[in-house]
Amino acid sequence: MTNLSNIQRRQLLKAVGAFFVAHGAGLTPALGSEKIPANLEATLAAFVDILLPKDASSPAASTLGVHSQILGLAPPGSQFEKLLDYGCRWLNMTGGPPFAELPPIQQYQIVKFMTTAPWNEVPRRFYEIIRATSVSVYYGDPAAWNGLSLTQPPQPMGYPPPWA
Amino acid sequence: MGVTPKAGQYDCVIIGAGAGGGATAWRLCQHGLRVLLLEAGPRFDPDADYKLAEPDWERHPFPVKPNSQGQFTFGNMGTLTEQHKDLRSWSLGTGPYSHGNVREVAGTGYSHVQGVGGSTLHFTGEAHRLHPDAMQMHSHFGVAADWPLTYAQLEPYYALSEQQVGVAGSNKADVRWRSVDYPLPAHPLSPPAQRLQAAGEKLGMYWQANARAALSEPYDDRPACNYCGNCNRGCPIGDKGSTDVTFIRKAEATDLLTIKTNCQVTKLIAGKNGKITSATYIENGVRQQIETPRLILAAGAVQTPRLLLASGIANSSGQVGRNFMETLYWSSTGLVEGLTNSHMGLPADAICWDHNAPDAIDGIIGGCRFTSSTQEVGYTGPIAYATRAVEGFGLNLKRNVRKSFGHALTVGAIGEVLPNEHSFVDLDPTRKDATGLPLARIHAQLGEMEIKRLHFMAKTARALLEQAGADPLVEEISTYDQFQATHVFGTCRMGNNAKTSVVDASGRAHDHDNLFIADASVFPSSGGGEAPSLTIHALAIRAADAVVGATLLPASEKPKA
Repeated sequence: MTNLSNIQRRQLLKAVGAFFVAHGAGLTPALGSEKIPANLEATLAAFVDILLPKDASSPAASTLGVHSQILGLAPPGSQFEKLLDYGCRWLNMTGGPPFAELPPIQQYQIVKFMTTAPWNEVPRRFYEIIRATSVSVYYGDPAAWNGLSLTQPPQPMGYPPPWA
Repeated sequence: MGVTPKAGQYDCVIIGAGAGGGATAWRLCQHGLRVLLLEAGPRFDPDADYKLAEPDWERHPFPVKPNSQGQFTFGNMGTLTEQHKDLRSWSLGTGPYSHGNVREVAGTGYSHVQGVGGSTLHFTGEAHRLHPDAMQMHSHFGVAADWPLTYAQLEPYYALSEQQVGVAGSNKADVRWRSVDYPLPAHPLSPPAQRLQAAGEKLGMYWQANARAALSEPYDDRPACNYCGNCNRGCPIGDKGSTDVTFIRKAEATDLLTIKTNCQVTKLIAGKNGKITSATYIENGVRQQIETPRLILAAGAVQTPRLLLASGIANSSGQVGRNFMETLYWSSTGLVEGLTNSHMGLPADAICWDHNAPDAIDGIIGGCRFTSSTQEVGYTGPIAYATRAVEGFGLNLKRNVRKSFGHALTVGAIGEVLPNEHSFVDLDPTRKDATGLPLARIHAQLGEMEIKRLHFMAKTARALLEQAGADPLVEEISTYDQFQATHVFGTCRMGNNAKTSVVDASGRAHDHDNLFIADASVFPSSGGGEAPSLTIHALAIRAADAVVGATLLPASEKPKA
């Protein structure tokens, strides 16, 4: 079970709830269709790896289980599960291979498009909420800290001076 | 109901174990009284509840436990206009915080803790005395109301509170004159504070070490601070002077104090002679009733008026719930190349009081203060940078998190709020809690002076960051569009006139001579941004002395050298 605190979980649910309040009932019919699969786990894993890819210092997000922890925040029937479902279906609406099987450069372009999509539409909200949640989960893992001037939690050692 | 009141067991009952209730309990125990302290929230265990030693510590703000958050609703919080769009909150990582023209409630809105220690458990721990002129706002400036006591009358209680809490500060003389030195030397300035001090000097602003309820050396069986930078997440080592490890710890050591947690008080009952005869509360789901020969109410500026309004007492003036004053807040954050380790050191360790006096800002009544706030606003770990200070995704995101970590510099500012007719606490007409008590409803709108003051705070903060070499700006947080109040005041104001105030200069209710209020609801004015906890402690101890008729004499100002 994911380790987000109660407060962060509430903030996530509030953000998700705000989207559904704003969006109302006007979602694209295709997003509700069973014909476009969500393939939640594979799609989300590929998505978070575009947000936080492997580099020379630290692993990709899926390696740290970021996608699994996000899925753990979405119990069946919840609004967050619905948003994940809509978002992953939208990602798979390529007319070709599903998102997870696209070349990385195409995946990148799709995500880039999402960053400037209208605020009250699925692509933009999905991007914003999953980005915020992903970085919180990712950087909550010390394996992601390589290259930062942070090697341990603040306690029990603290940071006594000097601070140069 | 139907439970017989327990007669004669306690000399005094206190409601609320926060800054005011804890200090009152300690003083009353010192006077030899048997005290019952009823607290709606739980105890917190620093070892188990505060997560600063965990690998995922940054995902854990101050913990929420059952009953540690009060319930309330919100009324009219005001609207936003195009004219002041420059005052809206935003960050590079998330974009604008608000998307409409109605002021939003950020998070819980009223940021507080119910529990043994109250909101001092999650406070930063600034330990400020009020500017003496801020206590005479009506006489001098025609706004708010005057305090019915002077700085000199409160000064001995400030000194006593500082000794009990263990406040570290600079003894440099200023308008807040002192009868005794701080018990502890000031803390060393952290990397971001040093940068702001240097920038301030170039702009003619004087930055100095802030007075802090955090130990700069071991004191009173508590260890010195180790500068982890995360006071607001709860202090696991006990150097932060929250009320649980200071006043309450000492009161419990007397064996005269009984604390009952998770006990919400639901009604105060007045007798025919005007005295409050008893209080009812819920303990383990069962309604109890306790005699109240003396009663101290210290539930804070939202829950205290709620209980009084729901009980129908102490309000012949009509002022209970009125005059609500929120926290007027601004912060600007930028990234400074060459600044490193800005996550280290004591939060809010440096302060500029230059604009704190009520007449310090041209054309604006009511002052403000500026603080080194990098750690206080949460730039202590990579999640903050990745979500707020860095935009985009992919390799660039990771690269920029690495590049920016430790370089954030934040100027925070808090300013005076003048009471107005649109800001008050009343009872929600429809929403009730599980006990059947109506919820408090907060209405809060910023007045003209507050908007002007916010513009000044924003302009000054940006100028400081520019001087410090910050580029780019990455975040600005403003209570113009985001209502988030940690300091709340005014809803049971003190005064000499029973027609226009709820309590007298000792905190005694005009309507009930055995009822005292010992929290920030009694403040007639908010001050120019001073953190209220030390003033709450001082007023609470003074109220306890009044209960037994032993108020300390005013201090004399030392002759100037």
